[in-house]
Amino acid sequence: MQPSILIYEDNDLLRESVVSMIKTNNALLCKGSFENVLRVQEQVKELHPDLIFMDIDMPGMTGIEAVKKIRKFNQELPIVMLTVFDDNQHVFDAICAGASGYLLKKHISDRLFDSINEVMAGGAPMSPSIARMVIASMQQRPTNAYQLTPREKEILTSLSKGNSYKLIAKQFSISMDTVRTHIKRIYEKLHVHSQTEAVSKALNEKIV
Amino acid sequence: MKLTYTILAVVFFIQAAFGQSKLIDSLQSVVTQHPKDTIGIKALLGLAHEYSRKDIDKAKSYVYQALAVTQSQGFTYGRVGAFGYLVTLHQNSGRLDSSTYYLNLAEGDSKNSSNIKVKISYFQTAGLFYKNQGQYRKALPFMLQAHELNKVKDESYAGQLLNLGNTYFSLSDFQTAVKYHLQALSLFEKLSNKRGQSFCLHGLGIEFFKLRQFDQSQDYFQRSIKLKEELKDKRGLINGWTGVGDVYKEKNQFDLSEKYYLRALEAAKEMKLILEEARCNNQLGLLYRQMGLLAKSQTALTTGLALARQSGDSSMSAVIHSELLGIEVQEKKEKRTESTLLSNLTTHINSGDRSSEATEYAHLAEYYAANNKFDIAFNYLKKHEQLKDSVEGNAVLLQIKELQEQFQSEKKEKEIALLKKDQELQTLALSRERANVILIAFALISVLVISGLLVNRYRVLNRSRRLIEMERMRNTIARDLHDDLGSTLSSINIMSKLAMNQSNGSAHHQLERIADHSAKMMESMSDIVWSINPSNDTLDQVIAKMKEFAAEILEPKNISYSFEEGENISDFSLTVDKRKNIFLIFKEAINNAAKYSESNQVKISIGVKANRLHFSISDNGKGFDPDTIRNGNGLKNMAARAHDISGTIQRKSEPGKGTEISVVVPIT
Repeated sequence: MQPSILIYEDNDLLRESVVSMIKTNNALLCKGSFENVLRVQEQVKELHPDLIFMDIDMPGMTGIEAVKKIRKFNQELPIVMLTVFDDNQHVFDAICAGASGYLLKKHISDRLFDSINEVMAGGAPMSPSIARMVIASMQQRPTNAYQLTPREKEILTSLSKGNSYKLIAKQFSISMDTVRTHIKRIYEKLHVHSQTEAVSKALNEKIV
Repeated sequence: MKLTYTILAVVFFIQAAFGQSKLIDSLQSVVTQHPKDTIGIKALLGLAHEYSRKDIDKAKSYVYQALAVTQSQGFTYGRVGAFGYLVTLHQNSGRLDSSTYYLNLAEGDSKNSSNIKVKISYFQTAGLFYKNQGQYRKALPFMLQAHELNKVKDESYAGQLLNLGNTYFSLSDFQTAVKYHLQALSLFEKLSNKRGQSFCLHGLGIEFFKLRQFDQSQDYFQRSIKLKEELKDKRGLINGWTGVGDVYKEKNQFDLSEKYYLRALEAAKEMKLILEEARCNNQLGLLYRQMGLLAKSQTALTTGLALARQSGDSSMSAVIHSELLGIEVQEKKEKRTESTLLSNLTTHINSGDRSSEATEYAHLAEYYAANNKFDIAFNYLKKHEQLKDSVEGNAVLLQIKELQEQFQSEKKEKEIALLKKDQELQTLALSRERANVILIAFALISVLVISGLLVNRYRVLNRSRRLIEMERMRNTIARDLHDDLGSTLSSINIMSKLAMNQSNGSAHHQLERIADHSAKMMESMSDIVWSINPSNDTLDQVIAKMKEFAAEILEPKNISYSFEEGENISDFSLTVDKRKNIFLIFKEAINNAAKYSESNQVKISIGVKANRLHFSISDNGKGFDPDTIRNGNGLKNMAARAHDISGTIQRKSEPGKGTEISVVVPIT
């Protein structure tokens, strides 16, 4: 069965481009594209997508708020953030709110399908700057609030220094897939804490 | 030649007497404002006082007004004061009966009142009354009581001192008189009361006259006259002129003496001052007698006697009577009778006027000598000499001189002290001024410094706030712009690639270029945004970005790479310019290696030595001949960027032996 996809993006040109790109791939089904997230709950409940691409900055409501709303009734649905920058606090906030990963807009044309596959397969992309933010928020708390394993921490630290998945795999003598699994777990652990809005809020304000 | 003076009344309210008419005006306005209270009464009595020496009738009318108010309001003190004025005013105008009547009223008030002020007022009035009556012995206890009760060293205290001096003078105790007068003078000077001073000076003038110190006497008189002229005190001037006349008489300058006496007589007549008139006539009579003009002398004395009797001054009457008899003896027209002389003597003994008593002894001696009763005459002469000596003797003179010197030196000391105080005040003022100047200067400098600091702080704060604001704005603009541009560029990129897949042949190349360029634009855009983000200012972050980029470019091409980091590189922070240029040089080098070198291995090393960042990128690719590709666009760019941040760049390459780019950039 084709994975069905919803797209939220306020830039008309880009939204249309992504839709047409998905349409070229027969293995995918675009169930809808919207310029804002004001009715995101109804749309998701009605259309039952398998994956959502979500812009961060949108008029009326941000993608981060939308992620939180979706996560209230659906914790499993993969949500990939679309962003121009990956060193952005917003991306980190979105991850903490429960996003599954992100795709830089400059890479859409090259990696859209790869990232769909990766996310559908349970993986998640994380850039060094996001890893850096995760580490920074870990250091601000005395206890390991995310309950990361030592290996996960090592991988996160290595990632935050700019090392690629390939280099990390080499560094720790593990396969690329194992690295991806670790990263996914890290996301999940962040995600676990943000399942409810309260916890996510607490996380964002770093009071937990 | 023997003179007796009654020094004229000094009063309860001795006012500073500049601008008399002004004073009167203001008193009158006070009266209209306070018609029914003590202030009004005081003002009315003040008016009476002012007029007492100019217009007795007017003065009386003011007192009656005051009396009416006190009667209606029951102010005992004010009433006794008013009685006092009436006593004195009636006495001065020869209305002895009225005077006694009011004195009795005052006595009654005093007995019924426990108010010390009332008592003082009565005692003063009584003392003054008896003194003016010539009954000095009777007057003295009243005056002393008033003086004792009075504790405040004010003008009325000074007035009491003056009256005491006058009374002791009349009792011929010149020493005590001088003492009191000097005390009074000193107090009046302190209080700067010119009228009081004039009275004291006059008293001293008479006392020194009595002691036959004529130069000093004249000096005091003249000083007194000068003050009285200033004060326009007509009555006082009469006394002053008489005094000067006396001095000239004793100096045998008869013309001058007569001139002064006549001037005084004229004024006394004008003012209807009977007692003064009597005395002036007496003095003229004595002068004429001394000049040998017996007829003139007798006329003057007779007039004087009549006036003295009218005024009820027994002392004065006795004096004049004796003189008149003396003239008769001299003229041998009529023998003076023993009984008249003896009764005069008794009068003087009773009144306590020892000076006149002595004169009377002389007259008696003359009389008995004329009647050839020499033993009795000698006896009286001896008495005369004794009494005269005790009154005017050398011992007394010496003591008085001492007193005067004491006063003078006290005065000088006071002046010196005053000068010193003045000087001290001046130095104090000077030092205070200097302190003020210093303080002001200090305050000014402080204000300047503080305001300078504040302005500076404000400027610095403002500038930094502006800088922060600008940076934030720059960041926001960059992000917003790039978010929008990035999205659009991304869609262009996507669409060109979609078109590429669908198109054939000719358009393919152009579409590929569109895709490439849009991708490059997105890339450099995000580089710029990355480099201006203040949170990316550490070398650490630049290196992370380098690694990320290396992985992104090299990994898809299966070029293996290694990344060597020196130690302690995380501590350095880089400016926007440096991190941007360093990263872009790195990027260019990596791109070159990936695109052109055909290598399969890239070595990257980066480290800090002596505050310089060293990094090198070397590959094992085909290399190039520096001479042939010297002007390659990418290489030129890298050199320019290194130059921009004061760094150096070196390229080492030979065909077939790979390429090494090394860069050194100062980072502090």
